Amino acid sequence: MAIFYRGAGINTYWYLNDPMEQGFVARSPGMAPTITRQMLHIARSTVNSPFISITRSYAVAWHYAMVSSERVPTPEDPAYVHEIEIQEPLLTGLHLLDPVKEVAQMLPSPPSSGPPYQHDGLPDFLLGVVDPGRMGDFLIQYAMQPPASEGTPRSPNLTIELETLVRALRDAEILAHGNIPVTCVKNRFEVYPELSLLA
Amino acid sequence: MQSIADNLNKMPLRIKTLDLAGRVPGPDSIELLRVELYYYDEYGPLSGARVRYARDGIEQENGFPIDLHKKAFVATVPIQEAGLEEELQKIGPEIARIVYEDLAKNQHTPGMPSFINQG
Repeated sequence: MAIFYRGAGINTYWYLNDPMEQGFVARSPGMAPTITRQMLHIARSTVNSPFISITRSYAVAWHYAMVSSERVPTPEDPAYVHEIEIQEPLLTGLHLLDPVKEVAQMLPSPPSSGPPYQHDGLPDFLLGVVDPGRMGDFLIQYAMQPPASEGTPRSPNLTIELETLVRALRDAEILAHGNIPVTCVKNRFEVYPELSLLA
Repeated sequence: MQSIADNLNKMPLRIKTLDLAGRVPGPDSIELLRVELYYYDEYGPLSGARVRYARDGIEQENGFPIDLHKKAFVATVPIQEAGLEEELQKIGPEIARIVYEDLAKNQHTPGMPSFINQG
C-alpha cells in the first residue's frame, strides 16, 4: 500500500468537484499515454493530458494547492490536499507511471551519435532547472567549450528529457493513467498559508 | 496527519506584487493589472503566482493562477467557463518572462527592490 497526495487550489476542478465523492479522472483520458505525453505533462503544461499528477510528498501537494488557487486560501476559505491510498494489485484500468523510469528507458546510450539528453553547462546548471525563478541565471550562462573550439556563443543544452527527469524528482511526481476511484481517496486536508506582514 | 497539515499551514508566506498594467496585451474582455507572488522568508518566490485583473474597469475578487515554471495558466473552472483559457495560455510565457526579468533585476540590484510589498 502506498500513500500519494494531490493539491486542489481554490476554484480548480478538483476543488469544485470533490474527489472523495467521485474519484479522480484525467482531463483528456482518451489521449494515448505515450512517453512524449508524459514529458509534455511534466515539463510543459498539463492543460490537456491523459494523466493525473500525484506526488509522494504532502509538502509538494500543499505547495501546488497554494499556487493554483484563484485567491489566497485562509482557514475560513481553504484550499485542499487529498490523500490517495493505492494498493497492489492495482485496480483494472489504473496504471501508475514513474516518469523517471519511463523516460530513462528511452534515453540514448552514452556512445550514441545522436544529441545527448545531458546538459553541457556548469554543475550549477541543474539548479536553474529546479528553480528558474530564483536561479534562472544558471540556465543562460555561456556554455564553455574546450580551448580552440569556440563556436557561436550559446547557453547550455536543455532537453525536455532532462527537464522531465529533474522536475519529476523535484516534485516526487507519479502519473496515474486511468481513473482513481473514490475508494482510494481517503482524506481531504484543509490548507492555507499563514500570511505574515512585511517589514 | 492533520498535525502535519497544521504545521505546513503555519509556514509564513508573504505576498509581493509586480505591476502588469499595459505590459502584456491580455484578452479584450479583461485588463491585466498585476502579478502576486508568494514568498517564503529566506527562500524566495514559489513557482506559482496569481494574475489579478479587472473586468469592465472593476478589479475582480479572484485572480488567474499561473505556473511560472511551465509558463502556463492553471485551467481553473472559471477560466474555462469564461472561455478565456486559450487566450490566456498564449500570454503565459510573456508573463513568466516579465516576472523572471524583474526577479533578476531585484537579485542583481541590492537595495533596489522592484516589487511592491503587500502585507
